Amino acid sequence: MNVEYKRVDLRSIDLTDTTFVISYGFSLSILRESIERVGVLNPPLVKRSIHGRYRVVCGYKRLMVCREMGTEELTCALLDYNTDEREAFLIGLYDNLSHRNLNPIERSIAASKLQDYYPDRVIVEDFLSLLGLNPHLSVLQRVLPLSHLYGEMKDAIVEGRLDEGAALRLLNLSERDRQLVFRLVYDLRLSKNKQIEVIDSLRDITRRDDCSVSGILDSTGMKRILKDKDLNIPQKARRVRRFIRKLRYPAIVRAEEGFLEMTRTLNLGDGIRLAPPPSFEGDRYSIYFQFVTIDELERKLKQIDSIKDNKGLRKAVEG
Amino acid sequence: MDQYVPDRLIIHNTVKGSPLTHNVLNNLSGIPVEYTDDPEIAIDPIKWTRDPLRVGKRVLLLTENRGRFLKPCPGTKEYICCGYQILNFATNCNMECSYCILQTYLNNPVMVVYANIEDMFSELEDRLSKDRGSVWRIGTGEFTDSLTLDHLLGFTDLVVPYFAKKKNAILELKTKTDNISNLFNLEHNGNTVVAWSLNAEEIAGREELLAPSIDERIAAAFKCQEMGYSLAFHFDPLIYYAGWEEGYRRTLNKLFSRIDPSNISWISMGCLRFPPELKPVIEKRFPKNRILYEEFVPGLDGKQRYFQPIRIEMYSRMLEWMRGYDPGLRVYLCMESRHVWKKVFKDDRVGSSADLAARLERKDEYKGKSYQT
Ligand code: SF4
Repeated sequence: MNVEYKRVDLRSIDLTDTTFVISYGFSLSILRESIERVGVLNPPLVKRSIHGRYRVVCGYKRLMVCREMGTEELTCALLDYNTDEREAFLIGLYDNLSHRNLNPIERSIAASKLQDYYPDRVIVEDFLSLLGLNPHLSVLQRVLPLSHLYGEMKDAIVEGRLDEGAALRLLNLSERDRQLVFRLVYDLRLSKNKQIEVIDSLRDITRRDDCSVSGILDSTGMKRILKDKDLNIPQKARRVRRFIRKLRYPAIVRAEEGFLEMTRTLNLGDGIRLAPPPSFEGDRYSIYFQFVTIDELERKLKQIDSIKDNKGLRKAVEG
Repeated sequence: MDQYVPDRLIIHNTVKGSPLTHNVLNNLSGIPVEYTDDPEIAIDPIKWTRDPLRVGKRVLLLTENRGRFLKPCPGTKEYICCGYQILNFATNCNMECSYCILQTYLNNPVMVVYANIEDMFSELEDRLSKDRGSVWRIGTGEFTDSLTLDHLLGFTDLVVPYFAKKKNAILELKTKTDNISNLFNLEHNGNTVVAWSLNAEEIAGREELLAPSIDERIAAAFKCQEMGYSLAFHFDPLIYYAGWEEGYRRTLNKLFSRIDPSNISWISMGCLRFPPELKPVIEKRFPKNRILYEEFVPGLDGKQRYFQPIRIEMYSRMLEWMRGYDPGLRVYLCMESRHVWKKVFKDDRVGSSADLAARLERKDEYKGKSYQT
């Protein structure tokens, strides 16, 4: 790599040209503090474009800070004009990879940009592991779309508040629905699995019933939950999930409610729980209880024994 | 139905001399042919295309099967399985059914034919002669459609007469096609059962994109009936949708208006089920599908299945309607629990896979005799 060091007027560096830049979701405050104290330790690497201005190859954040600080001139390393774009991009990429882990959006940006220079096979075989990803085509196909999300969704991924898998599922929704569902899972602070559950369910309902997410979120029942000031966020989240599940799986929820109703008639008392087969598949029912003393054990076993002739239970078990 | 013609033929040098290779070369003209020592290398670029499944179906690979040809159907112990044996002579299928499990099951996207059939016959000979006591039910339609390539391969010309001589084996050719011209004039001796997968017409039209219509399938079955073949039908997958009763009744009506129940060896039913990883594949490849959004639960085998009462309802109604045509039809459920069997058949006679296999293996009862499962 041929470079030449030179003082460069910052106005001649085009920071809007991000051809070689993959950084996303960073904060400049710590870097600014460092530059204010000790200056720019490593000169940014830039390359002259055909228009005579400079494009950033490495050091995008350093240059942003200097621009913020009003620096007019800075020593930069100038990459040989004849270095081709692919080479320049790789220099920038390896520079990033040498000192930090990329966040999911940066990995997606890097993979998308690599597609400008390489076929998928080369990206998978030569680059995915470097990006911290499994070297499979399916993985490449999964990460690519993330960089096309809206800014606030990308930010939520970087902050760890939106799961990558959930974000990919959002991409299957219409633009309007995507925004609405994102807001919902974000505001309710759902965990990763719950985000996916809610997004999948809403999407399935819209496909099954040919309706929109906004129609569901605008329904009276949903609005009542979302506007209820007496509920805290976890309570709201629980109710919203229940509401959506009921729409998605009406027969299953009815069966669960019916079973619960039946167990109430058994008067099993505290500490004994009867459970149906998971998802009512298979034929194994379970009873859970705990005891401390033999007396308590006897009492509970007697209690359990008393339910075997219960009509509701027989109907549930034997049909 | 338009018969399958690949865009490209790849021949593994090890099967150059196979009769199947010979047939394919005779039956295909104007298609680029490539010979290779390493099929993996030849097909590798397909795996890197944007839609390998679509591109792969346009390529026919003749290669050798280095493993066994005959394997038990991959049933799971949690559900009752009929104990079928699969004769694995080909993998993949061109018919583009949205729900097809092969989309995630196969790790090779091209249409593969295992052309070393001398090895297949010697394996069959070995296995069938070692166990003469039981009746082997052997099918070729598990990892492919049994007949979709038959106009190119002439596979049935070889395999049907072979089974005709076997006293302890039944061959089932399972198909959605009407590609039956090779079956005319073959000596089958009643040992080949030709089976069609049927569905409601709405489902066939919407979800079985390149398969012949239900009328065409029944017309083909009718011709096979005239040729003296035993028949079988598979309502698998049964798909729940608004109006399913009407849809499936119509298909049954069409079926029994042309097919004599006494020629039917068996009818199976199986509700739609799929491994969770198939869902995104279906959604991507068939965005207009409408089959994934009913009430599914994880089954005991990890596959998604309709909530049990829905399955029981569908099977029970279907059974009732079928028995309206002939109470003696031999009907079984594919991969269902004992509980569901009991509910549907209102008895507990099939409590295990062994029970079901025993009932299906009664060769003397295949034709013309009524038997109620
Ligand atoms: S006919 Fe069978 S094997 Fe072929 S695509 Fe349809 S489901 Fe798959």
